[in-house]
Amino acid sequence: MARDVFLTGATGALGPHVLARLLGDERFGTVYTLLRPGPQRLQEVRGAVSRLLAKESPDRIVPVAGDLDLPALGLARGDRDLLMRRVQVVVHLAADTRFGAAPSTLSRTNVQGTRHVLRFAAGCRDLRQFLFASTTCVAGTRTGVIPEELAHEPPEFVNAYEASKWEAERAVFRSGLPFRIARLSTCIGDDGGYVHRLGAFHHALRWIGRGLIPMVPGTDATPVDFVSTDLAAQWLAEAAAREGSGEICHVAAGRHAVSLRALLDFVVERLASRGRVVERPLIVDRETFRMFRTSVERCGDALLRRVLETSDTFLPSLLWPRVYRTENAERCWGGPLPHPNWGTLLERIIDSVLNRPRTVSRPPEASHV
Amino acid sequence: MHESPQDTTKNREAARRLPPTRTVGLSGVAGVLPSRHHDLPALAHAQLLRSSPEALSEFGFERAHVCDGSQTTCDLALHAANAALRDAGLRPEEVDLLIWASARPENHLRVTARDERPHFMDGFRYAAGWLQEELGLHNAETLAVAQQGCSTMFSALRVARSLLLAEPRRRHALCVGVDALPAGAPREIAYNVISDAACAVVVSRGCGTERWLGYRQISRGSCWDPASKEPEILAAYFPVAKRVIEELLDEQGLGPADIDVVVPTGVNHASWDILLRIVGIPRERLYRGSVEPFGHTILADNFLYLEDLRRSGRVPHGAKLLLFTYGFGSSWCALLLEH
Repeated sequence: MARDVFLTGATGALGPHVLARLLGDERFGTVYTLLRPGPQRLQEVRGAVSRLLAKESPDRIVPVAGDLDLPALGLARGDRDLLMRRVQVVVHLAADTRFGAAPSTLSRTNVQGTRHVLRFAAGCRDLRQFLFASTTCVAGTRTGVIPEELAHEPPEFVNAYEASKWEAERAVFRSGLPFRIARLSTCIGDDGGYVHRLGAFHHALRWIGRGLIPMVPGTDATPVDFVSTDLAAQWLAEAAAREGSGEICHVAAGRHAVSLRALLDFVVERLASRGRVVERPLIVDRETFRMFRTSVERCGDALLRRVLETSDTFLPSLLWPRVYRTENAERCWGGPLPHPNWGTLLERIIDSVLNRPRTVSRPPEASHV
Repeated sequence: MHESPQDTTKNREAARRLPPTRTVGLSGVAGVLPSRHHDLPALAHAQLLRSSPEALSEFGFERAHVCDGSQTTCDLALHAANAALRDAGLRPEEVDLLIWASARPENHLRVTARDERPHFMDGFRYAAGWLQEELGLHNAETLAVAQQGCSTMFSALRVARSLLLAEPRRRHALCVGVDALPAGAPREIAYNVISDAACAVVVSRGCGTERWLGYRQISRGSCWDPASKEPEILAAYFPVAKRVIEELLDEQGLGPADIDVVVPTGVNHASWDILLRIVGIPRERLYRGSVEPFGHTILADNFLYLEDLRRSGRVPHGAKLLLFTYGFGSSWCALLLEH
């Protein structure tokens, strides 16, 4: 019998992709999507899903007015009662992914918001799984091989976003619910190159395309882990069809991650083939990058400072090289993860990002409800 | 047909043993700053700075030397040229080539203080011709180099060397570089405090001092407009600088550790610290000598330091000297000399 799903984060970078997968899968029935009130949000979601499904979005999407940041998700009583009777799978994607946001703001959505969703899920009569979308960034500054485990002690984090997701994972782990935690690597866009919402990775590509990133921290061999949005969505839909296992899964390239040097060479070469000749950013050590950053801050060039601000939340992670284990994720999938050719994917993303009309620059988007 | 590694090494060694007729060096070097200077607070008070004096001070700047009405660019050029000829021990009639170098168009012209009404013929009053007459360089041919910003003097030396080698009857070329900003112009460009200055270098065939080993330049027309492309120029600075230096060293079969002295420009100190790190040259090889801080003089920096280095006697013979500069236009230039 088809399972009804309660989904948060439908308007985020990954939400429409996951929603489209759920709607296209007979194993799922109605998908209740938590949305803040307002017709625009539902239209946005329907539009994105229609594009992905290449047809009108089915009627199986039922918007539910609410707010992640509110106790009981701000649900009307009638809605809540109905959901608790019918929902068997909770897919919690919603999060504030702004790396530079204030810790209190991130905690409100990512930690407290998750606790609100957990409490709701605990009231579901026939809950089969609480599927939580976390991030590989919870590894913080750990290096080496990162296991698919919950660390008992928090590592040192690069930013408050990472810390908030680690706290949220702990809340899920201790909830007593049948859960599965999916630590997603950087989702850079779907296999066709479509990017629903630009993130730090895409902004960095844009800046490189304008020749505005002269150096990045790391080494030639630093792994840069990213996945296609399609892969992440496919995996989440497959995982949602299973029972909660209490395990943590890295939806990541893992041992297939591309090296920083190869990535930069590829990006620069592709830009050149499109008539944009830029110097390949230098790969430098921590101290050199710190010196450069300091000199930009002191000189006050507005554009370079903005470049560093948007890149600073992403680039420093390159100083901590690591490889994510993916055995749990592969077992859940039923085999090796079907990664697309990274060069083909990246080429399409580059075209998509560079051809996208430039809007007023803003930090990586929050994808919370 | 590609050279084998053994042939490359042999050819490089052979180049180092060039006969005197194929050896070119710098027989005379001189730099001149205007006597008048203004400190950072004074420049800020006159609204000639964009950044705060504190920020510029952290970058190593203290003052700007400025040509006022009593000293023109031609005065500075004449002074530098005479000093370089004395340093080379040359009489004026021994000079075969006079090459004038200025980054700014107006500094290619001789303008007297008494000129009141501009005339279209003023554009033909070339300073190079005037200097030839003033110095009595009756046997010299004159030409000028332009459009390379702060690297214009490097190109003048390059042209001089090339002509001396191509036309063996010539032995000495006097390169004179001078730039002054227009009166009242801001004194900060791209976070550097700008001084007016002149320099002169005698390039001589058969000269073993500051022997010319190699030169490398990378030009990027995409950065031709410094006003609208300032962030792009700042961002390209380090990657291209590293490339031009590494390509020069590689051509010579040398590595960063083989550079004994880096003769810098006067641009902000932090940028030199970063550049040396990314190229892999130890920071202690950066030459500062006993030169008073003069900011950035557009095209005379390296030669003010080189003049001081030659006088100091502290650098051993045979030391490898690396000179590097960036110029609007844009060009990144690296020159390798043997002291």
